[in-house]
Amino acid sequence: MKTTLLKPKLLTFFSRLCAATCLLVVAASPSFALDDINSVTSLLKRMAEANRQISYQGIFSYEHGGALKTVKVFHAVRDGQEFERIIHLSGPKREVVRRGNDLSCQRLGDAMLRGAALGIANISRGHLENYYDLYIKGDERVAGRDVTIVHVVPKDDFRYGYVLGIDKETGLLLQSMLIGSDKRVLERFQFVDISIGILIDDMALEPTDTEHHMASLNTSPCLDDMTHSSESTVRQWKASWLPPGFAMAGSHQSTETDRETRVFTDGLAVFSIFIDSGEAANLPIIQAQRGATVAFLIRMDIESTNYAICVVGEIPIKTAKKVAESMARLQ
Amino acid sequence: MSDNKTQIKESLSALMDGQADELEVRRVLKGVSEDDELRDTWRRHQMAAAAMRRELPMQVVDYSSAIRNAIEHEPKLGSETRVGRLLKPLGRFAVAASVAAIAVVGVQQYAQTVNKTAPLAAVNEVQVDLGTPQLRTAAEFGIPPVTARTVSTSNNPGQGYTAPQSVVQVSNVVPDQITREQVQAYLNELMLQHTEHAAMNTNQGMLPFARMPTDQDQ
Repeated sequence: MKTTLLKPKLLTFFSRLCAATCLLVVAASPSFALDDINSVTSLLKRMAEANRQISYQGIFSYEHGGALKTVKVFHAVRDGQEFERIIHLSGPKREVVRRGNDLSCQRLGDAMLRGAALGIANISRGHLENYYDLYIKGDERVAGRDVTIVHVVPKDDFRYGYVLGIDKETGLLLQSMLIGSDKRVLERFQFVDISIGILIDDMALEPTDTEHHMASLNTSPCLDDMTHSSESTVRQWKASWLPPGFAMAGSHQSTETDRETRVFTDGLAVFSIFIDSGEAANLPIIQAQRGATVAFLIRMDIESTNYAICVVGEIPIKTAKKVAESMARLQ
Repeated sequence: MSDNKTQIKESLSALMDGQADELEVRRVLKGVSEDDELRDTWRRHQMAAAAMRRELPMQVVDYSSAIRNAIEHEPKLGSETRVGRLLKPLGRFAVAASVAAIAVVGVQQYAQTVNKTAPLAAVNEVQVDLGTPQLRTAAEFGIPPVTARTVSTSNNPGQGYTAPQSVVQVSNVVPDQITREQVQAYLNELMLQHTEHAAMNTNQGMLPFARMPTDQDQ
């Protein structure tokens, strides 16, 4: 008998509690709208510069699908050029080295993030704000340092969202999460420990593993060179549909494999289109996913030649599919 | 009487559509326990729904009567203990508290992802539900069973692409000499190339190289 008496009281208590919490949340939300958009964009601009100009070394973790990797990174600037080395500390040995990226070379994604007026079709000043809502969401601590948390929320569902943790003192990106359409975290980079602005030993930039991978700088040209190179390359394929805000950041025709490559970005997300007519053209239709990266491969038969068209990127699968299916061969 | 039956059947279809209110749910549950015909109707509806979702197994076996018999013959548990009676309200407390938590999380933008104290469970659910069943295998670059189709492109200038036209069996599309490993290797190669593109354009320096496929992923 006692329990039945208690029931209604408990229920009303909790419904009040719910109502109270909801009210609190609603009351807190208008502060989003008060964010000064200029301060967010200048924060991102500062980050874009800091990520390239500052020397640092550190260890970060990378999580996806419940898996965790730890990675060591060196970033040095010498004579206006970037020297980078990355080593996987867990799992199989992986090492990547990149050298000689000129600081004066600005690529399309970089420029879009900085919000520079580019004079390229469809790219306006403040490009990012056209496709994402930007919010400053308070302070956090990452790798023992104070960071500002920025939420980057897509305005459409052709792209993912981001939660960025930007170092207050230097502007370096110390944490980055990719957020799927259902607000789930698809992957997370987060520095565990970082030393910023230190002198990095030459030896630290030399690969120790003979199997290391040498990253190429040529896949995306500098904006200054872009106008020339894009005219000189013969392109046989065209995407009839692109998600709004994306533009071509580079293209490449391999002489060895007959593979045509295109790179597209909106300033944050990047996807690549690969067109193969060799052995790969016999592949089945594929949809695949690893972490936040998806691949969508279809085949097209044109004048009795098989082509495999594969879109790979950190984008929703439906975007990849739509792009792949829109590919058309120019006559 | 027949009016009552029509009404209860309406409630049943409402229940299956997830539209039934509490009263209707009770009415249906009561009706089902008493009325064999209604029980049969429910079963048919479920099978039709399953067939539409292509979840119907090859053979449908009705276990319900066997289970009911088994339950009837189950020895009865002793009547509710004093402790049980005391714990009951606590259970409700837990339910109500979790409802409150959901209400809060649901409203805040991305809030649960920013919260460092949030359990890693949020990250465990990293899998994107890509909507189509063939993708569910893909925690890593798993090659899902393929629903194959050919895509043809018209030769007319100015009309480069036409919609997919025919559906082809998988076995016809995948030549025998192409193995799972080859597909895997090809995707890994493209992914590595893409990672280079991402590292050049996302302003995160070498961070994208953490995504590099490792042997474990294969």
